[in-house]
Amino acid sequence: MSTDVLIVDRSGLDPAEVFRDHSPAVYRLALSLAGHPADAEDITQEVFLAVLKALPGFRGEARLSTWIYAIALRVATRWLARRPRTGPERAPDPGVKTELPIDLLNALRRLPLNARMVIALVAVQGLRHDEAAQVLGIPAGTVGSRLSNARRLLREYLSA
Amino acid sequence: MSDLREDVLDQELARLQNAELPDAAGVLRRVTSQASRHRRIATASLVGVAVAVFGTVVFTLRGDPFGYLALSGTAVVIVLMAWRHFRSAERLARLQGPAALEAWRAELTGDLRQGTQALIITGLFAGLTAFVVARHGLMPKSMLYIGTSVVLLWYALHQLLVRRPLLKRELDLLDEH
Repeated sequence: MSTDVLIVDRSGLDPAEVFRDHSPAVYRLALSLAGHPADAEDITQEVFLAVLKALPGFRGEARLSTWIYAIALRVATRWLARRPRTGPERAPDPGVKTELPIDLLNALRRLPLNARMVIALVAVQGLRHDEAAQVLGIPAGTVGSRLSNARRLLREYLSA
Repeated sequence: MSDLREDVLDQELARLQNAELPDAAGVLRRVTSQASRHRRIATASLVGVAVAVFGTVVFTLRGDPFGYLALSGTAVVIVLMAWRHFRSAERLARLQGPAALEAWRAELTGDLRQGTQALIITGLFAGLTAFVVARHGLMPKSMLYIGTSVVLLWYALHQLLVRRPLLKRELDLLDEH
């Protein structure tokens, strides 16, 4: 039985448990969208603030994870709109040791946001096309075409 | 054209799949602290509404229409602002499913109109404030009108000068291809 089902089956959701189970995924989603670890941490914080406030209204119609991803996409979009464009060249702070794929993060930042969302959900989080379509509110076929287009662009940017 | 192989891209994406939130405990602590702050705002709003409602009743019993209008207006402003503040999370969580993107876009477009609406309401209330001040001078009741007008004006300007450009940018991001 998945963690999602375990949480939804209980009458009360434990916010700390929700955070523990889902914050790594939300962070990776935010990192794929923002392209910078510090930004991703800030977005993760805002996402969980929204999630914890909305949690009492969660009825379990969707998986908890996809419900949280949908919130994360909206929070990240709002966050990116508030932040001035910093350009694709921005890298993590110098001196900070990182195992992150910096070139890929910079390439992701050059993609249109819609393409980044598809990459984040399908290629990073491992959602099926229909699940990503449900989160994004677009047809599954569009997810497929956006994904192949995004991958082509990423390969171009990475090989440049 | 790209000469980077698909499997190389997959390896890079796999590295991203292993990324860990560096300070999970710190993030949770900050989230909890912000959530507590929001609860305090909710409590303060409730107290404000209770005071305003009490004042409305008092002025109604005294048969003072301007006092009644001022206090009931204040109560409505507090309720609306608190409602907007707390509705934001609920709105974020509600939009899911096949029409989610269109619904999201429609909500943002609707929000764009709020600056103008707020400015119209501010103008009407400012007119009422000017009338009350001219009639009663700078009495406590007039100060209430002035205070409410200032809050409304601040809200309208914030909507027009801060929120509106952000909403437009958010819509642009959603439409990026």
